[in-house]
Amino acid sequence: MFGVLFLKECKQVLKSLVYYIYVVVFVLFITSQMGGGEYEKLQEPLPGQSNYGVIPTKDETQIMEGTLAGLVEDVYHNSFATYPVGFYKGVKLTDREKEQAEEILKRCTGKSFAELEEEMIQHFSQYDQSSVEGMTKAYANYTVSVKEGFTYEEFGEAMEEICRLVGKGSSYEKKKYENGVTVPMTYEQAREEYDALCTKDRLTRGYMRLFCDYAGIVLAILPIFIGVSRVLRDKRAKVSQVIFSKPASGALIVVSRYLANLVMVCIPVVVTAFLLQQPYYYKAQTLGIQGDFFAFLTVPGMWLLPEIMVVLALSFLLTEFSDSILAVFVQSAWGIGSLFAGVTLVGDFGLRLVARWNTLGKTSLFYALEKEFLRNRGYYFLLAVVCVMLTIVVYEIKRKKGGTVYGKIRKADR
Amino acid sequence: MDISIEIQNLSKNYGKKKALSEVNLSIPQGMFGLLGPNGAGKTTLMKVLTTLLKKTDGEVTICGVPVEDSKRIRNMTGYLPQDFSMYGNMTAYEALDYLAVLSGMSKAERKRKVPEMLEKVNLLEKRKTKVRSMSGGMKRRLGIAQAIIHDPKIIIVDEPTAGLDPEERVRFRNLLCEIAKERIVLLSTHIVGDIEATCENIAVLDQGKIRFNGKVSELLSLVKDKVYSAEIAAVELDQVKETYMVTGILVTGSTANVKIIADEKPFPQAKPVQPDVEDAYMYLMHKK
Repeated sequence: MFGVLFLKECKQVLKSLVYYIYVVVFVLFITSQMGGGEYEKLQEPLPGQSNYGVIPTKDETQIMEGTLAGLVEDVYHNSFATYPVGFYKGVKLTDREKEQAEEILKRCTGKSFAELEEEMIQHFSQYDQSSVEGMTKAYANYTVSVKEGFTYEEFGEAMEEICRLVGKGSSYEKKKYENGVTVPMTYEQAREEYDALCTKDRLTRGYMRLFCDYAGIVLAILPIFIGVSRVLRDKRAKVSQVIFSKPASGALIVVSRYLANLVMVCIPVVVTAFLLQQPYYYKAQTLGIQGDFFAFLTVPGMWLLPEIMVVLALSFLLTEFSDSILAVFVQSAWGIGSLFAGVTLVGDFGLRLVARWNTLGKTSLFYALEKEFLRNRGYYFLLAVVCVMLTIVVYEIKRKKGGTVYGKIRKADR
Repeated sequence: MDISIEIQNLSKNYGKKKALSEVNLSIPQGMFGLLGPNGAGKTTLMKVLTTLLKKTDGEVTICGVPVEDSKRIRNMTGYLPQDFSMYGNMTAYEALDYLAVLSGMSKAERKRKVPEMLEKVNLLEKRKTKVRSMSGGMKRRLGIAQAIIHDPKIIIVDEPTAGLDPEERVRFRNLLCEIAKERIVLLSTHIVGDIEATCENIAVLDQGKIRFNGKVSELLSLVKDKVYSAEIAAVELDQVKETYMVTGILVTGSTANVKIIADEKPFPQAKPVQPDVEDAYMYLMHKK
């Protein structure tokens, strides 16, 4: 009975316009983001290269020097990028606030702002600023030394003062600067990264993580519409009463609908992942690596499935409970908030719905963070199961209360 | 199995509002009509019987099974709600098959019963018609097919003929009578003609209370020798309507033929006539 109902529900999804909109938006988003740029960058590092990319540093001096360099630039341009509620907000300081910021810089570096400004102009003039490579190098190598004896604690206090001036969500918040300062990689580090990508990730797994990063962004939002439209379809088609009166249990009805929608949401994800993986699978072969052919299933399965599950389950629950499109607003806010709440685009999983890994590689870092990642995904998997169970409860309550959770019956129904 | 519905002191409240108040009914096999004005509590009673609403008080058993045992009750009842519809993108066959799955029927049973039911309700030729393209009558027939597909002992139909044209209405009534053999068909309506044409036993519900429970002949006996027909001048019509209970008016030029319910002969020229269920219903509702 479950299997038949499941297939009938799948067929219903296939007849829904919302589903086709979902497929189109998803495919367009993914293909526009995964443009193949990473494919070009996939080259074995060789000794003597001028640039091996950058790597985040945990060295306190480097963190201070990198952060202060950014601060000098921001004060010089009097333009601070902040993300107070996830969205960009440019901040311009008043003359008095700018003076305060310059004072803070002087306290940290022992130099007046005029001196810092001159050093900065001199530094950038050494590079060819008309090329991307030149600019990248100029920024990567630009640091501002702290004054002698200036401690990391004092630096932290100074940055707190900057945060008070520019407001929330700037790159001078502790979590941000501790994860946001990068330093150029050495050949050895680059080699180690490349080897890990080839052996541990077998290339395709690493690429699928990048795929999951982009897919995870849209999948925090799009399945909401699928879930809401499925649950509201009963109300719109006026079939609730007749279905309520049938012997089938609430668990059977809700679970078959949920799983059918889950499978249908996953199909374009898996197909897209498979197609996008193919060039990397063959690239791996040309590099003499046996790529992981099933990475298109295993990586999105671990990364995206719990996310899709919880987004869909919560949309079922909220819609069944409220008989409205409440879930669209609540869950969109959650998805967008989660997207912008991360300190970095690589890692920082915490309990964020959207797990970010906006890079091809950094394999060693991923395996170092794997436990945190698994905890995050496990949490959402369980949350999805709880939401489905609660949906069943709500469905059964409605079934016994004339189709409403609140006990209000339309006058015409009496 | 004893096919009956027993309702004792049934009450249902929506907050402070009493939708049903101490309803007592014993419904035997066959067609049973539940008559009453809009808002009388008919749909509430039907929803309690189909486990879609919890009763506040009292006892209800269907074929000896208490209504609280919702799984068994749902297995033995078929329900056609007042505003029955299905997903618009399904065909008649798909819709019936979907609801048959929810009724717990196996693939083999469905393969046999779905075409059989469609034929019974005269929809077999329209099996590929989408629900969204169906007329009100076709939807109602599909509704009755889904209500009987799992061969329930009790069929509960709520206002099934509202909005149907006369031909569809007659066809639908006949269909209900046909399926009432060896079953209870509980027909709720505010259209007296439906009851008159199909039911032997009826109950009249008004403001949540049973005002009458018995056979149609017993209801008719309430107005025995109380229904008169008289020809009056059209100008006297307003005055007659104010004085008597008028259940029919036919104006022809300057004269009007009126049907009046009165305890005594209203005018010398009035002639006693045979009462119908509508007269009895009107008498009952205005007697309170």
